[in-house]
Amino acid sequence: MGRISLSIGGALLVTVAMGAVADRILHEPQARSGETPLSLMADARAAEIAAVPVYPDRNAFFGDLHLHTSYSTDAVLLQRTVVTPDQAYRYAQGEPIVVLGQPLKMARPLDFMAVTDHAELIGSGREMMDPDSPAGRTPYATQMRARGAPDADLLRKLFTSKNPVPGIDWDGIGKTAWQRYIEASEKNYRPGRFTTFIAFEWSATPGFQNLHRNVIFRSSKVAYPYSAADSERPEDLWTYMEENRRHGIESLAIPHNANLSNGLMFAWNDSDGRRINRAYALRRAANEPLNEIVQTKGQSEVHPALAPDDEFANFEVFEHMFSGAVGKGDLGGNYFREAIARGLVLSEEAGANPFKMGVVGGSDMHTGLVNPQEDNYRGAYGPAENPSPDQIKAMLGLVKDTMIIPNAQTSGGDMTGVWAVSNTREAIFDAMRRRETFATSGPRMRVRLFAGWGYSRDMLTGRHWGQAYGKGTPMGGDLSPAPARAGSPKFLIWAVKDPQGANLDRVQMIKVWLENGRPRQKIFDVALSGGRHVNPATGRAPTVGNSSNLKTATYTNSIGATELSAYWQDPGFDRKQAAAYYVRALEIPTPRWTTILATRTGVPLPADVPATIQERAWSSPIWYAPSGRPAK
Amino acid sequence: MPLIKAALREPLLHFLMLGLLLYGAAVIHARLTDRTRIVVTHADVEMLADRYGKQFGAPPSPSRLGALIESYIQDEALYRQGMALGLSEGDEIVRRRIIQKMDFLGEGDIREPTEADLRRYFAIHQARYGEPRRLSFTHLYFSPDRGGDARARTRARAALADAHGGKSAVAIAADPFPDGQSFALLDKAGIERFFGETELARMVWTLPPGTWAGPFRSGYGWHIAKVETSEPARNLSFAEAAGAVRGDWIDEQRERLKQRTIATILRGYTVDRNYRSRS
Repeated sequence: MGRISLSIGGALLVTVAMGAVADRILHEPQARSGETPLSLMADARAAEIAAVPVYPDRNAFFGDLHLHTSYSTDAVLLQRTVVTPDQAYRYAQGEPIVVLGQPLKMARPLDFMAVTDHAELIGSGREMMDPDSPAGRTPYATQMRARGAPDADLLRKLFTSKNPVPGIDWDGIGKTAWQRYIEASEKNYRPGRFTTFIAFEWSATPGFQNLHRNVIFRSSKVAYPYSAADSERPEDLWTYMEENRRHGIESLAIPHNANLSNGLMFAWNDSDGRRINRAYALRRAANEPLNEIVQTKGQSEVHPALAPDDEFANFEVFEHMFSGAVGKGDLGGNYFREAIARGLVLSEEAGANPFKMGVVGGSDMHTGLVNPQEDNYRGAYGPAENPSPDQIKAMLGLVKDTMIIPNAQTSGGDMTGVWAVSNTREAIFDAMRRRETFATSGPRMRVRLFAGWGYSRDMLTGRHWGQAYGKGTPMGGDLSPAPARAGSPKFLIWAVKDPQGANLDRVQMIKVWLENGRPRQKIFDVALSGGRHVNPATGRAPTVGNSSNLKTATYTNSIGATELSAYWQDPGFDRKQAAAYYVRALEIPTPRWTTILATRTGVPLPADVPATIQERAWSSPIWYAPSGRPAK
Repeated sequence: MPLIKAALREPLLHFLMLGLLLYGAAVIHARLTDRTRIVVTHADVEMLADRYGKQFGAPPSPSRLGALIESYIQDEALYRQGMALGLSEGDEIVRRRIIQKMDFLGEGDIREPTEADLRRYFAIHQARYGEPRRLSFTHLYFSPDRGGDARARTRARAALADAHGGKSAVAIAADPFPDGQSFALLDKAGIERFFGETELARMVWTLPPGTWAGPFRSGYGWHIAKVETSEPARNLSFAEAAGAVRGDWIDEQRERLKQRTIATILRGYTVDRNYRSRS
């Protein structure tokens, strides 16, 4: 195995392990290989392999693990989405595509993406909309098209039944669609440049309560999707994944929109109403190492009512379930921070932590076009060239729109950051598996977090990340047991702005811990821009200010910082208390997408959403368990 | 009017009128069932506009709609031709699939290219198989976090004077940059990924190698930069490009065949643009 030593972007470039790409070569679609003289192909292939950069100190790759195309039935029936998975992948990597005659090109391409169409009756929406397909010729589909919309009964059945209407070959349609779907992902995978995953969404929504999970396969060894019509119980989804694993098919599941689960996502009990036990906890942690905490339908980190002391909790709160109603269930079961606390409780109680989750952010766009940017987001509406003022008013909720959920309250953008050694399926999946991920509400800001007992301040000031990995754990991991006579663990915290985005306001450490068995939480401002300090009397820092101009929907980086970092120790650390620590980095206030859209087109700002927001990044937590206890 | 009365009783006239009637019916029947006549109705156009509007959130512009209509006519012709050729037999009768089949009609007729084919194609289209220009450069970063933007720029200017005065870069006090001081073989997209689409990312391409220059603003702050080497954009050798050349050769043959096929098929149809009379 050869090595090339080339410094690229501060990282050492070496050839990747041949094993990792051998799989890729074998599965190369036939279109471009085939019969060309092998010697010629081998030269080209060797060049491609050698060009996969490897970053020993890991690089932050940005992507989206949640996107729907016209293979999602709801996207077609409700939004008439026509974009195919292949087009979605091409768009996300910056290639020009043409949709219904309109040329589209993404301004800032992504590093990786998973198209996650609903497993339920996958591909059938396209067929029902096609008047000449067997499914489309049925009286049922004909009536549906004539009405212009599916009725509620059909929509409900689409997510719960494998055969909602007799006379249509649902199974055959699904099998064909899934095959094309795999081909699109394989065709667009370019190791080192753009990684695709084969993935699907399991869309269990009992009683409008969202239990959805995106299932991401590690390689091209995949199984036919498991749907909510197979079962609406997460335990059964894990059985499917475990069965696959026994056959060498590796995957992980990422729950999302806990905020719309009516308390079910992080409930204390399993699907049968029994208190979570060790077996459940181990299975859940093994199959669900990540949670999507921010996306179009709001953030699921924390609700203001659950964290009265958190002055930044009121961010992109979205509470309208698919019924349109606001859930009345257990609020704590809807939010990540509470789940981290419950995980600590259940870990002590059951001996394993069911909610040991890192974080990711997703778009959940149903247009097939990923869109992480605040300045061209349109909610559920597509990227129209020249929407009329009336249409803009509908998007902004100024006039009644036809969406079940209020469009103006949806959140613009949202991304996943992954610290991986290279941009390949294996490297990114493995980083997700070890939870070395962070979520952002759209900007490509980066956060690093390490914890260890033997760290020194110069490791942070000198950016010696290699040493940080060697002597401690990165985000997503476990702090090793406290050595004898060790004081408090040391944290290395670092955040840097998006090079095309806003400055940083502050970086916060959020600590969740158990005190006499009861969950507690505390937020520390560990790094503040502009020389501000926390007032010891109030425990709060002055606000960073607001440079936004609402007349022009612009801001300036005249306030805030480019980079913030902290060498931090927890003043309240108690080696007998289980704890989890995660970082939240805030940008300075900038105009929200609704403000940008309204201002550009001269319509009033919607009143039910803030004019400016503080975009942010969240790290995955690092866990500490008292010595001798399992930290599963 | 006895003459008319007589004429109305005339069997020949009856015969002629009946014939006229039958002829008219036949014409109408033919218009309704003529396989070679494509009628684009107002409803069809509305359907196309509606589908576009639902996808994009706004109706198509007139020129966009025009393109959608032409595409619709083409699809319709391909569909009918495909049906006529019996492509539906033994298969699901799916309009879209027939269109796709017609789109790729003749795909099997495209032979595997010889090396001579590929070399000929490569010689004509060599410009397509290029490596972009790449830069290797060193930079020193001055963060606005230390005393503000103006101060960072001043520090960058002083550093530039020091560098021009012969001071070595390692001896010049600068701030740590998130992605290091040296970058190798980056193309335009690579530089923008690290620095944003900013002054630095634009200006670095204009610098003569071996000389420090600046200050330039990036998305993070101020920089001085020295290009170490500039690899000009270059054409790939045939061996390097062979895989892509084969794919493009086949794509081109397929596209030519497709255009020829579509043109031939469309000549067999008349298009009745019904929607125009109403708009």
